[in-house]
Amino acid sequence: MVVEVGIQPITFALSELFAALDVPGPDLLLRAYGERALPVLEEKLLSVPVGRALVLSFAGVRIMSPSFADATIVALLRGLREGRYGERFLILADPDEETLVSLEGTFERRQHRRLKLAVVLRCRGQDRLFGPVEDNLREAWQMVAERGTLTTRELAETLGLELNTASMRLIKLHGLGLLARREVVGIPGRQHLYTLPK
Amino acid sequence: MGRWGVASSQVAVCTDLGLIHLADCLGSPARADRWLAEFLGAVPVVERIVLDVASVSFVCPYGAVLLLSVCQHLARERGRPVQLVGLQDHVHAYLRRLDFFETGAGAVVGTGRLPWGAQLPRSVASLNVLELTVVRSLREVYEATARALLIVKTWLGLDVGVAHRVACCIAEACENVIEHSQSSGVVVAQKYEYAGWTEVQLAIADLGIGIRQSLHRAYAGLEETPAGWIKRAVAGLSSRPERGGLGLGEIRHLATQSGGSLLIRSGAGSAVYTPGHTRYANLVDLSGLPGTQLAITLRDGGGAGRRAGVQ
Repeated sequence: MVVEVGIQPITFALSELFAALDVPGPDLLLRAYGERALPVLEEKLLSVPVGRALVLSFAGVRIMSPSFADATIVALLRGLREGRYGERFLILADPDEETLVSLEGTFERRQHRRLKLAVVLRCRGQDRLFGPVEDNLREAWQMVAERGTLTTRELAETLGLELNTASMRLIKLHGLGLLARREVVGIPGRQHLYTLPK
Repeated sequence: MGRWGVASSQVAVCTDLGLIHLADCLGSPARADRWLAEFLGAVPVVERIVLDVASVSFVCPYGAVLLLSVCQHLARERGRPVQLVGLQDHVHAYLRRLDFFETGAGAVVGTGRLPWGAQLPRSVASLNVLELTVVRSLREVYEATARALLIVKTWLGLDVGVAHRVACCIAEACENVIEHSQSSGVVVAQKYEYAGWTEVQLAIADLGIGIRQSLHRAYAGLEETPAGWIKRAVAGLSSRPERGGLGLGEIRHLATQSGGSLLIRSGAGSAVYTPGHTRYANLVDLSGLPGTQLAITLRDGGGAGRRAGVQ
């Protein structure tokens, strides 16, 4: 097992958008404002080194309307899923319950449901999954969260799975933008080491 | 016969001027809507329109936006402002409190002076009333939403989440005015306290293309009655289906769940949603008011939102 320490999160405070949008705050409302905010957020995301995550902090934001979330958070998640921003990740930090309800509703809307959008939530320093993620994937993700890093072999051994099955679960989580990975060469040969996005 | 030739009990016309007497029809969304349904078919084809509002004793927010919309529509058609005559002092004072004549500048003028002392007190950040506020820009929508949220939160004792959803609905309804209607609109809100409950009435109106035309552009093969288009819009049909938002369905849900109601008028169709009951109607005369007008009533049955001393 590899323990990784000392990586500082790269955070963007969504409250900084108030100035960019020329609104007094503390709410992020309206699709058109979301569409104006998207290039700002895309620039921030693309400035993050490959393999790292942009942490969007909700501190100081009272309401994010579903249409604003649709034009920003959902657009970023779709872009990440489609590979438009390279191997980068998104983490939502400390949204309040109401914003989560709003986001959940947005993820669940007809036009997004088939995408099964999900994201890593960071609440008071603890990471968890948010969105429709299958139970077996959720279990694998949780193991990564608890151990820090995980390989296919470790997942297979711990859960008594075939290597192919374990590999598929981790690959799916990586494809959903919920796990980062890098290739390492060790005694068992070349393998992928999965971690939470940082 | 004097100056006026009486065309009906409500309408009098001379060569270039039509005088229309209004009943006491602006006091509730339902009455105001009935008035509109009858009124537009009865407007004489003359250059100058005078509305005798002496019988109007109370104006609710939806009544105010309908009256304003009608005046703007008639003024746009005729190139002259509509004149209001016979205003009762308290009605005149309330319309001034709502900035009715400022908002309708060029489209409506009121005659008669308000007596000294009849003017209603006002605060720039009132928690009881959001004056008729024109929404042309995103910033105006943003600011009007913040004011309306403050009123709703202060008086209705809603769960924070519900209050925030209400705010999102107001914002999105106003954004729709700008985006879909290709027009500016107005929003207004007023808090009322009754013996057993408190309610906030909101009204949002525009004179744009309306729900039917907005949806018909996206679903050209679909045929519906005017009320049928409203029904479809409330059920979630959107002119931009790839986008997500709250929409009219969520407004209906929030309003009826609170014990209140939602009234939607668009073109020749209307829909009224109350808890457990829905009514759709189509005007026989299809020359309805353009655009879309909403009356949203949100209630707090327990009166939990009352706050002493709020002006």
